This record gives sequence, structure tokens and C-alpha cells, in this order.
Amino acid sequence: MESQPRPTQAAGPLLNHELEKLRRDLTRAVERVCPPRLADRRDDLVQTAMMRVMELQRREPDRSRLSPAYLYRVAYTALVDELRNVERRREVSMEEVESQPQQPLASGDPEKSASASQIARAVRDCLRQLAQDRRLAVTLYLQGHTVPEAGELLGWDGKRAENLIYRGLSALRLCLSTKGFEP
Amino acid sequence: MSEQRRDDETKPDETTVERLRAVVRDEEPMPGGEPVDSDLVWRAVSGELSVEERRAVVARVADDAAWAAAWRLAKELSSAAAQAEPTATLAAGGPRARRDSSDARERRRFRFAWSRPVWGAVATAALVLVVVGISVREGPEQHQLRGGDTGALTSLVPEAAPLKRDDCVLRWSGGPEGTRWSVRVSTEDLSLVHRADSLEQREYRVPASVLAPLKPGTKLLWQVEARLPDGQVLRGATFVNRLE
Repeated sequence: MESQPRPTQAAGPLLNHELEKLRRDLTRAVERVCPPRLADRRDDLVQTAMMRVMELQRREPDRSRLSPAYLYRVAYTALVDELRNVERRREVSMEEVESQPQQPLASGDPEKSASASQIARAVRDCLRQLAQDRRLAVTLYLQGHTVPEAGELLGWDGKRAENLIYRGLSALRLCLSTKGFEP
Repeated sequence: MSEQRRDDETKPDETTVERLRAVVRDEEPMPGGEPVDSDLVWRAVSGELSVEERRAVVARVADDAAWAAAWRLAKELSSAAAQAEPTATLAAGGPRARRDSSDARERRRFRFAWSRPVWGAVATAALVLVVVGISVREGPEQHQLRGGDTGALTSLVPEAAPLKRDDCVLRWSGGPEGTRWSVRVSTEDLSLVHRADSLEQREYRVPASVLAPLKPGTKLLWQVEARLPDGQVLRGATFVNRLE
């Protein structure tokens, strides 16, 4: 998917030190967001996004249109695209490995990995069982938003957001415990 | 039992929350899921979508680990992008840079304000109304667009008279004594957004520096929000005036 956002303001192209800042921000975001299983791909992800930005800077005749906000958004789009590609390649790779049972299935601790996967599935199943508003509020909270941020994004005042999140989390834990998980 | 006490009882401990967040972060996307619409996610996170649209995106995030990862990335990078703005503009140097820096602060503030449901919904509605060219009834001294939740707030700025750059005063009527006002000014393409809060008078002078980058004839959308003495918050309609 190549849906590129439109530039929204004129602030000039990024200078070298600003590109370095972009790279640092991308690296930090990827480190915080990407799961451990993609740890060895983080540099590639960042590099791909940076290349997309550099290419855009090279091609765009009207460089004043390349505001930092625009270029961050381009980098973000590139990262999501590349994440999808990495996951797709990984799926294919896993299928190939599974067809060769003599080889080890995965690096690390398979038992631990399977357990984490089961917990993740259980969390998502339990999320689906929550009432809609609680599900949305808890979802944002688990994505790292604060209570006020979640409320603001979903159009609720702080008190309502707080109630939905805390009670939703309580219900989530109860659901998980019935499945044998104690978060 | 008070509401606060009930909340305290249900509030989870930080360790549990962090553990759950880690589980969510590490989840593998399901094969065959709907491709992530990164542009949609970015606009949802940065508050560009309406509340209803944002909820729809969050529902997708709740269902799909790939959308959730995209959401977290957008959260991180949109925040970093907002912080990058002043650095970039200051790098150019000079008075223009300072003005741009001020504008960037306003845009950041808007980014936050825009995600508020009232401002977002009203501004979106106002933009749609302007774009499709819906005509509005107007008197010689007052005009008003639909979109607010109170008809008591009316503009005292004649629509026909262009606003002066160096003396751009927005005036309105309505609201009881003791009301505190907020005013938000924006352009149709949102290249400019300016907001002033806690005003005690029913008028606001938009700084000339805020309007300086705009071309002559630019349409300014402005909207007033009233915080009544009893704490109730009402939003006014969005008014449209052209800049000289």
C-alpha cells in the first residue's frame, strides 16, 4: 500500500542534523514498538524508512513542501509497509521450516514462546468479550496511552474513561483467570 | 461508598498493566488479516479523524495485532514529529524562524485540542459546510453557521467586512456574566490554527503575527467555546470571515 499523506505545511526540507534526529526517533520508536522476535530486523526497518525519506527529498522539486511533520509521516508509512513485508517473509520462512521437521523450529525458548503466544491470544479473546466501550478504552490503555489520552481520543471525559478502563481491566483479568492465566 | 473509592479498588497495579502491555506488544499478527491502512491510523492517532472514525480504527486495533503495532508506531512518531517542528524551523534562523516556531507551538497545541471531541466534531462539520458551499442566513450585523450546540452565541463581526491583519478583533455575544471563553481560529486547509483560552471578555484580538503568513482573501474559521459559571461547557457555531 502506498497511500502517501499530503504535505500540510511549508517548513523546508530536513537538514542533516534533523535527519539524524529523525533516525534516532525512528530507532527509538522501533525499539519500543517492535516485538523481540523482530529484534534482528530493527536496523533494516529504520534504514528502509530513512531511504524512503531521502528518496523523497531527492525527488521533490518543491523542497519547501517537505516539512518535518510530512517526512515523519512518510517514514511512518514506510515503516508500516516494511513491517508487513517482514512479517510476511517470516510467515513464509516459518512454513518452510515446518516442512523440514529435522531442523530446530525456532531460536530461544520454544516453551516460553508458545506460552507468550497463548497468553496473547487469551488477552485478545478476553478483550473481545468486553462491552464495546470498555474494549476500546482498555485497548488504548494497553497500547500505552494514559487514561486522559484514551478518553480524549475516544471522546469521553476523564472520569468515564477511567471507569471504563479500570473496570474493563478488572473484567479482563477475571476472564484471563478463568482461562488459567494470572497476569 | 464514593466513586473514587470504587475506582481505587478496581485500579490495577502498574506491574500487571506493564505485563499486559508487553503481552499485547509481543503478539504476532494473524495471517490473512486486513492490510493496515497506515494513513488512517496516523490520522486517528494525531486527532485528524472524527471521534466516530477514531473509535472505528481503535476497534480494528483491538481485533488485529498488525493494526495495534501500527497504532503504537504512529503514537510514538506523531509525538516525535510534533517535537521536531520547532527544531526544523529554528534551524533556518532569523525572525521568520521565531514566528514559525510560535506557529509550530500553536499547531502542536491544536493537535492536542483537535483531538477533543467538541472541537474536532465542530471543526470537521464546519469544514464540510464550507467546502460544499452551504449558504447561511445572515443579518447585517450578525452571522452564524450551523454546527454549534448553542444558538445563543452569535458573531458580532460583519461577514462582509474583511478582517484586518493588524487589527483582527473577533467579537461575539451571548453567555451569562462570569463566563470564560476559548476561541479557536483556523484556515480551511488547517495550515493555520490558533487558540486562546480563559478569555474574560467577549472579544479577542488575533495577533498580527499569527495572520502574517496567510494570503489575502483567506477564509478564517473561528469558533467560540463558553465555560459557564456553573462549569457547563457550550460550544458556539463556527463563523467564517475573510482576511483582507
